[in-house]
Amino acid sequence: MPDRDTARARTPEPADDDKTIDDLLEASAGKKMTAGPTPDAAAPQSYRPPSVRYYEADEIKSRTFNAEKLQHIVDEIKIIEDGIKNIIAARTTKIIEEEVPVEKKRAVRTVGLDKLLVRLGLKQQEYEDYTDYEIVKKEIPRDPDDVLITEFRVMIENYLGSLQGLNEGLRDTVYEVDGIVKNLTEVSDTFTDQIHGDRRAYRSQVAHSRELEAQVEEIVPLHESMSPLHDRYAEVEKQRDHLEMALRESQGMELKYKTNIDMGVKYQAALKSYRALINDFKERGDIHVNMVDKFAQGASHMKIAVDNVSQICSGVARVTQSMVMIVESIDDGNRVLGRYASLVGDQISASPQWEMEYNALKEAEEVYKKNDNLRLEQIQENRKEIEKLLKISE
Amino acid sequence: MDPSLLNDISRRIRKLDTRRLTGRISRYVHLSAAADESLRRPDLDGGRVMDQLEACCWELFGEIPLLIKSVTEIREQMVDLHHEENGKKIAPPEIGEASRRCFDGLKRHGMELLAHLADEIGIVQETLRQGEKVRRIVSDHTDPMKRSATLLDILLERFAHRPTVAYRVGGESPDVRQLEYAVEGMENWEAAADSEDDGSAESLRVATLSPYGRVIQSMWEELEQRGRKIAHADAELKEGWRLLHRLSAKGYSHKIRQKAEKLSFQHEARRRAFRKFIRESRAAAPDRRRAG
Repeated sequence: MPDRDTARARTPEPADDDKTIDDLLEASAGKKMTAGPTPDAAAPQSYRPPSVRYYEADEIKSRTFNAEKLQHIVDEIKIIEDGIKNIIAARTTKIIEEEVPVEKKRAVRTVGLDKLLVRLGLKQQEYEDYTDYEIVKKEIPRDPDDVLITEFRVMIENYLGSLQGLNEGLRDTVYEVDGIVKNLTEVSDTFTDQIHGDRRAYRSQVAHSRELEAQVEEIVPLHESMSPLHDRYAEVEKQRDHLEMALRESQGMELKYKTNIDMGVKYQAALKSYRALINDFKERGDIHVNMVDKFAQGASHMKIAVDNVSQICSGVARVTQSMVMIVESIDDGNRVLGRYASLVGDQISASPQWEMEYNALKEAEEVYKKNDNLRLEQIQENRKEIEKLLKISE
Repeated sequence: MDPSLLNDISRRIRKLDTRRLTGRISRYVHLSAAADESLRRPDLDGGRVMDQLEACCWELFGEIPLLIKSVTEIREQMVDLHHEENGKKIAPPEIGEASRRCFDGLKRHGMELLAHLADEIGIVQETLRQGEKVRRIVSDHTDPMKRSATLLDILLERFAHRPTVAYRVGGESPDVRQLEYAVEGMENWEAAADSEDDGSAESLRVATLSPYGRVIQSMWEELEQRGRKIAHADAELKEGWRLLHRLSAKGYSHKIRQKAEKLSFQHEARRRAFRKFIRESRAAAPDRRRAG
């Protein structure tokens, strides 16, 4: 082939067509081609190939089509896709139904006399074992290849949905817990009021006791010093007894108030630390609610990103497909030209075969020219698509 | 001395029965413990225990004022008891004097025991009242706390698994950036919060109840203790009264004096504790006034 190329370079004419063919050959670099043989200078004059070029070279903006970049993108996307499929496969299971053999017993079928006897109860019904098949649902792990990329979006949606539901529930309970904290504050205040009230009562009781103590202190020596035979002895004794009882009662009240105060203080302390813990819990719940909200926002963006990924995947597939088709049609065109050139080169004189070949070639040429415009459009469309996709993936 | 007064007091003291009260106190403590346990463990039948507890409380709160009333009435009658030897000749002065001292001692003993009984029963009433109040508060809060703890459990579990965090999508778009930022923030917060506590809601659930639990625990022990004190006081009271009755009816004897002294000796510890409490509370009170 290189020889022929150099040979072609030496021949000056038909230069334009050769140039076109060269361009075409260069443009599809790396693709195996059936190269046409060099058109011989001594071509028969009866037929000349049309002078119209197949297309204007400057209409194709991208001169060299380098498929490597596109391939690179495709490869990367494939990696992401595989990764995502693996995630989904790892996290979901497939439920299949299996037939499982189960041993069962059934009554043996009896006929005629035996049947009658069994019916009457004179003969015992026999049972036999048989194998029945039951349909059982089984969960099995999934193959990454079974996974569709759109499942990922659905997974995220479900996850987000449940997370948001959870978050709403948590928000409600945080609100309730906040109510509890407020209630506990009220209770604590009530305790404080009660304790203060008890303290005031205690102090006034102590004062009362002290008065009684003073009185008792007066009367006891008097009573002790009196003789039982004194006519007022009974009176004094009674007075002393009553005073002592009153004093003991008053001191008993002191005891009760003081015990109450101590108990109230203990409970209040416990409730305060309880309230602190609940408050802490509420704050943590608050933070979680906010975090989950943010996460949900971010995750919904991720959903969009994944959507874009799947778009890119399918877009790339489309573009690649049409490029391949274009290249293939170019291939066909090259083959047509090559065939024509070979026929011309072989200097086949006018003959019915030649006429047939020539007509066939002409037809192919027509078809090729018709597809020309289509191809051009397609190429331009693909260009635009690639640009769009590259923009999305940025 | 009016013999009917003596008999009247005898009758009242005989009728005074604290066993029902102490029995109910024990039952209350037992039911209260069961109710608390059912708060912690949802599988136990909490409703039934609560009903029984409510009923027990009602009975107690009904019983106590009646007891206190009886005790007070006995006291008011006893205070007017005077030493007289019923239907006996006036003995020689020394015996008379000893008899009188013995009588006074026994009377004082009885009065103090009655006062002690009234105090203890009153304190039991207050303890029950306050305890019930707090228990109701905590049991009202338990349901929402449990719900919150469960939800937090689930959330923490999800964060622990972090299915989406481990995967960096690695894009340039602002949306993806925002997601990564949010996830990063969560990771940082969790790392910081983990160092404060073990992060498990189970321990939080237990922790919220534990200070309350300690206080309640000591309250139960106290209630049981006071129940025992009441039972002892009741027995001693009856014993003392028997002696007093015998002294008044049959007269003074050496044996009576011995027994009376023994009783008094037993009671002395109580007397001392009481006086000490009064003294120390009064000493503490002025500080409170300055602080409170």
